[in-house]
Amino acid sequence: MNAPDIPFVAFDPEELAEEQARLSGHTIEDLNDYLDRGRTPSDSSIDDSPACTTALTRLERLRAALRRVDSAAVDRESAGTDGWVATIIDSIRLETRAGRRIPLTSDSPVARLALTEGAVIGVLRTAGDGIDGILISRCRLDGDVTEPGAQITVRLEVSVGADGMNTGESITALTSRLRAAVHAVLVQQTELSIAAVDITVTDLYLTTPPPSSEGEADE
Amino acid sequence: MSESAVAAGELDDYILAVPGVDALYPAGPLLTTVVASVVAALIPSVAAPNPIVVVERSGGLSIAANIGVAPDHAAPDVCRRVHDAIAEHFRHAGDPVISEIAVTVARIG
Repeated sequence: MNAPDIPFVAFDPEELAEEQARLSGHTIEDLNDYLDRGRTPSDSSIDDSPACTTALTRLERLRAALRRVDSAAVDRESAGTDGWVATIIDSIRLETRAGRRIPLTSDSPVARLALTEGAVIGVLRTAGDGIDGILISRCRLDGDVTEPGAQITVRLEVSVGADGMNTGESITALTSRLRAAVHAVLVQQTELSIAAVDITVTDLYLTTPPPSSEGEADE
Repeated sequence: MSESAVAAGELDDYILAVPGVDALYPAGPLLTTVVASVVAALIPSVAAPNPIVVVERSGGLSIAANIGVAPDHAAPDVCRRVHDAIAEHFRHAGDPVISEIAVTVARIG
């Protein structure tokens, strides 16, 4: 199956330079092309970069989600630059930054241990996007993550697809599942003091009808 | 301050053998690392830059490593295990004075 065309929004040269600095000299478009080529020939400047690896994972996840989405909805989204697809692409650009340094405790007097903010946001996205029907549009850690013990609020903006909702399940129930998954990851992967996980559903999208049943003609 | 090659080469394998570590990323300044990588790629006799930075200061050695953590491991625990592995490595390598061991988790999963 061919990868769907992913629309890109325009950005200025300064942003481009900053993006290339974050992504070891590459752009999101380069990474998209790399996926189109099946990651061949392999490029160590991409494969060995944590920012590029994170962006590739998210682009692949977005592609997988788009394959499930109603094609007419994708066409409508692709026609504009402010739809949820464009929003997600934009956020991939921004969130490949290493971001702030989140300290970890240690008994050693010489230890200086930390997580990057980008690593935490990446793993939160993985948890969220792992729930059928959820696509994280934006993810932010509000509060001073550089200060141990500071109260942090995780703010998520998500798109919800009907395919991920169990029969009769409400959006509230789906977001509760998301909140639980995100909280579990935060407890396992960080030492942050979480005050709240705020979730805003910004988009609802339709899904592709199930494949034609037996006996119906395929192309 | 000077760059030190003290056992830095062997540290790669040592850190990658720590349970939960699935990648090692350059810990040096990005531009320096990119330039060094390009030079190494163009000139076969030049070794690629070591991802671990070991700097010798008056107060002792300062070691920095950036790691990726496998998804089924807790990043804080892995980070502490890498710190312990580095400390143990240098204890076996003559036990020099160490002023800092900086381990940063750059990616999880």
